[in-house]
Amino acid sequence: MDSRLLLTIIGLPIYLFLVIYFRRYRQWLLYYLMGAFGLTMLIALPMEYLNWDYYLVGVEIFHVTLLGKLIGISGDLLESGRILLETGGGSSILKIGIECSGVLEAGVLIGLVAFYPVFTTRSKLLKIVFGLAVTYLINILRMLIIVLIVAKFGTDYVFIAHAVIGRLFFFTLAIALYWYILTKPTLKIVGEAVDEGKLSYEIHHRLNRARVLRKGVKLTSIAIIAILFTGSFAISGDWRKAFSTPTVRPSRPLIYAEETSAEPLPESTWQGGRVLGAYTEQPPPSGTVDNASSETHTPDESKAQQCLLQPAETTTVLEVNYEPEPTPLTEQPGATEVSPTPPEFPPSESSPSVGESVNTDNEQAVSVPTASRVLGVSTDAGAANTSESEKALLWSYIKFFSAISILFALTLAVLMVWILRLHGHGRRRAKKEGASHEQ
Amino acid sequence: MNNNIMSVLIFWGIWVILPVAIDGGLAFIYTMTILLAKLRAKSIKTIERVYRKDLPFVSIIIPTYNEEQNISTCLSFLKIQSYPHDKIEIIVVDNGSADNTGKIVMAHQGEGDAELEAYGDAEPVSGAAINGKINVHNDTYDTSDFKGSIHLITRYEQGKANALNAGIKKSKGDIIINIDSRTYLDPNAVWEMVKAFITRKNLGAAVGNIEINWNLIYEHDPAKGFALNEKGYLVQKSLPLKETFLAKAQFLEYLSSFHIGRYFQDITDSMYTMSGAFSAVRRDVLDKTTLYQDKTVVEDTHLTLDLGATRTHIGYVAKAKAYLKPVTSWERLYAQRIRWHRGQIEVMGLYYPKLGKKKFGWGRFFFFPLSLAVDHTFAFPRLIWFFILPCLVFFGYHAKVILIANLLMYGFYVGLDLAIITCCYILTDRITHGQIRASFYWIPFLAIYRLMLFFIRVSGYLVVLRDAPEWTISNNPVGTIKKRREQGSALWQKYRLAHIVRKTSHIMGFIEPTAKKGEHEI
Repeated sequence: MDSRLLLTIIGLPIYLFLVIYFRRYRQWLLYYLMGAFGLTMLIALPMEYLNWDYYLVGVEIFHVTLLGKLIGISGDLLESGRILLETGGGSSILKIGIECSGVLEAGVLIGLVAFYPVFTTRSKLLKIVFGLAVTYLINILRMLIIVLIVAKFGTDYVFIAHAVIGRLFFFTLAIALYWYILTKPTLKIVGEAVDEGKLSYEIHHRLNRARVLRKGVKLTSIAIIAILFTGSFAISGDWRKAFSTPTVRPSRPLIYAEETSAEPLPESTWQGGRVLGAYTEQPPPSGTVDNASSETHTPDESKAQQCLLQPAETTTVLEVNYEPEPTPLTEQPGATEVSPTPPEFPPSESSPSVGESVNTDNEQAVSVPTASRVLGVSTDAGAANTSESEKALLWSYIKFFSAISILFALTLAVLMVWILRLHGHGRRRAKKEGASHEQ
Repeated sequence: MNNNIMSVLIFWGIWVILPVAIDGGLAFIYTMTILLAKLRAKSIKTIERVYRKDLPFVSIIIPTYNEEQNISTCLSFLKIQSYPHDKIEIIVVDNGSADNTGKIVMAHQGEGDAELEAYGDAEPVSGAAINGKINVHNDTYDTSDFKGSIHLITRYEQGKANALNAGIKKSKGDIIINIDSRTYLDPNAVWEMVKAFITRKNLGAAVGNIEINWNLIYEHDPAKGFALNEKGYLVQKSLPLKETFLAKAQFLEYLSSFHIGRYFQDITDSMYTMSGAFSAVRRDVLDKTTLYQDKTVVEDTHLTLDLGATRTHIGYVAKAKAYLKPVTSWERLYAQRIRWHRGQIEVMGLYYPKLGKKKFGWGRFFFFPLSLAVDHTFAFPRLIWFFILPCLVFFGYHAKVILIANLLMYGFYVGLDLAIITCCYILTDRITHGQIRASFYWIPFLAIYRLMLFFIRVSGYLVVLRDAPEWTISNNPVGTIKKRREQGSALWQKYRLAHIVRKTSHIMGFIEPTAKKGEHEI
């Protein structure tokens, strides 16, 4: 069984038990932390494992290019989360990483609102939908800013655009959003309750004009964003590219491997490599090996299958990648360069550097069963040979994940015990001392 | 190689940029403003000639409740003030203490300290002011020289706000100073405070400089009372590691929050709280407000915001020093901070209609929402991201990267604390310099302390939403009812399981229903 699945099966009941327990015994910090954090993980992890965030990125980039065209950036949408940009003399390809997809941010927002101990379910739902819509919009604008900077000033500015300007832009607007959906209602509820002399702040539904108006504003903005979102598909015929099959997810190395390769790559920076010479694509993926040579893209068909089964061969001739390809995991007869371990830091000379083709002589020589790595499903090709290393890999995964989980659980347990103790002491002490005047 | 550094920067930039932007940016703005103001203030010197008879009359109000351990020392420190004693009156408002608080105050009203000895072991006056002498910063003062008046008001109602109001109504002073019974004023504190009111005409109210002093924790045994050394002074307690950490961390925290935070709020006219431990108000300014109110758990902050609504300038007087014992247990610290942060939200909720309105001053217009956004709004995503960061390994990030990013972030915070404390060192006097040097080696651990405070803060923000306050008893009937209901439900929780078992047993016929206590079978 896949270790992740196992973890989920074990973890979910514990999570639910803890959330209910903390709520029952009014440990608000632990309840909130457990609930919100757990929900974030429950949303983000499946998205990651099932590669759904790639589709999200695809849709986002589709919107970015569409908006870019509106403000006069000549960009083209490519498959699997890439934009071809005309910059100055040449053209660059921007690859949007998963950090930018906003999955984690969306998860955090849902978790924070869903477990906030004061709103009603209905108002929470409205807040979440509104928040998600606005987060999506902010994220698109952030990417647009990055694209704009790269298009105007070139790829040298990717770092500043992404890590500084984009981050700060996103962060500022996100804080404004949180203010609007968390802090402001809190202040209003608590303020009204204190003014009326209530000591516990239940929410009162007073349908006054201002409240109706606010609800109207939220609903209207949700509607506008939704209309823009869906309407854009109608305007542009490009949208199929947005749903193109996700490429193989590379593991993120310590630092970006292309920078550490022995041969310096020409003028390529992270996320914005300049393509020199031939630019090649992954072959159209399909469920069967027979279809592998077909030239037409069939993104609509058997999407789920494509997720599960990646092609056994790659027909790459020359490639400059923006994220490193995963190292081939299995040894097959005829493979020239094979390393059974993931790339190390610093990368050893023997491991194939990124940018080099793994094997160009024999097209059928190397299989990259990455899908099986991600999902724990073995492909047909070379199943017999891979089973050993698959097992070893799975075992290493289990060890790694359990180590991390134990570490995390320990940290949480220490915090839990600490807070519970404090809370108990606080209550007991308060009862004992009555109205004492603490400074 | 350049590319290498670049990519490393990019990766860490993502995680480090936010704390740098928020905490570092704010700290930079604060310190720069203060240093500039300090430079400017040095060039301006005002000379004011005031005759002794024209000095304002000062009323010092101390609310107490079961404070026999502290009140005597507090009064002793007030008795050695350098301000003319005929211009001082001390009003102690006792909220019906069950211990010897009232008697100790009465003993202070009388002559000499002989009577005080009678109240014996539980109170430190015979130590702190042995034979009427008190030792502050290696100078000995005589408390028997005091010629001012001490009044005692005994009430049998509860609530700190009401006690303070009773004291204010009784007082005659032009300037009213409120202190806690746990605050020990520096001998020059009242004088410096009055001087600030004389020289700064626009000053309506002011908060003093409260400094944590771990030297005030004395060796105390509940059975034997306070220990004395051969000279007759109290013996300082040697603190264990945990308490030392808390004491030094609080010293550094107060240092930055007063010398940087309050000073900045003074400059920008955005004072958020005049600490109840040591603050002063002009009487005519106070008359414009509804005095202290017990609607919230932080009556001092509430009054500060009420004064702000009348556009009073509230300042900070760095030279008026008061000393406070550190809170040396996490439990008490938790209780204290929960109260503060609960109060912050309550008070800001009441202030909400005025929030972001320019007519209450530009400082308040700009900095109140900003501090709320940093404290409250940003706290929630930060709470979750703190735990997501290690979990990024599940998303394919290298554990080493995350570890290094965390270490880098910690390093950043240590650097920030170091910069802030250095700035404080420039701003403080010789006596505080010694204290800073003594706690210098704790600066690297201040980040841990702040992290713990962060969790407590979020806890406070959540507790305010669902739980009734536990640290003040209000006269509000709604609260009492609510409290009773909660107690009832707690009992229900406790005995529910037993109840279910018994009921089931009855139904199943295992045991006979027994008569309850007090019921008689006929």
